[in-house]
Amino acid sequence: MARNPKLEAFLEARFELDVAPPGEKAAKRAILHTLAEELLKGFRSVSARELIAITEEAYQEFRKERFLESQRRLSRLR
Amino acid sequence: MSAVTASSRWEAVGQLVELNARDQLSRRYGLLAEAISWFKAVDLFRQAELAEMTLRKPGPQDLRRHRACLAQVIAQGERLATLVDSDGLPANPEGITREDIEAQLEALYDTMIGWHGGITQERRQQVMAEVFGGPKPQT
Repeated sequence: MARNPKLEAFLEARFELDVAPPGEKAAKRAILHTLAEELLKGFRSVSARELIAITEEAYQEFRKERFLESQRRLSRLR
Repeated sequence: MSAVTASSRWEAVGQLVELNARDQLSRRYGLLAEAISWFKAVDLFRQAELAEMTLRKPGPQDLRRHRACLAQVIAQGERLATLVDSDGLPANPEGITREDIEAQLEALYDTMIGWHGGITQERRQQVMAEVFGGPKPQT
């Protein structure tokens, strides 16, 4: 499957925020925002929040892949 | 995940949020316990979202339930943040701070805009192409 490294890194950072324990949420969100700001250098018309929202569809695909991968790993262990 | 129905998953989230809201009002367990319970409600919401919105194509009813549940979880988080602002959150071994509650809340708002914010497909494609390069990239 074709991969876009920049998008992949961004989705990975969002996933890390999602699965982080409560005491690590602020730190993980800061990482996600730093990445968003780096990606948005030169794009004045897009905010970090809009970028996160715009990648929602791709993120759900990413999340689905991660879930199916964990299920496959579990079934191999059984 | 198939033994549990979609409505029962969303209802479970709603019930937990309602229970948390009652406990919050009566100050039954203290702020740290309320915070932990809210984070658990968010986890339960994310599980329902994964099963009903991510692993299968959501229909109009799923979208409606998702938005309603998300609004409930956000509202409870906002109440919690208000209480933490006025009373402070006690130091705790889990290291949960006011900033963690805020970060979780912001992530929930991102989800609300991502799913229900009315961003057009055209705008999505335009930004994806501009920021990530080329046509809408596949992950």
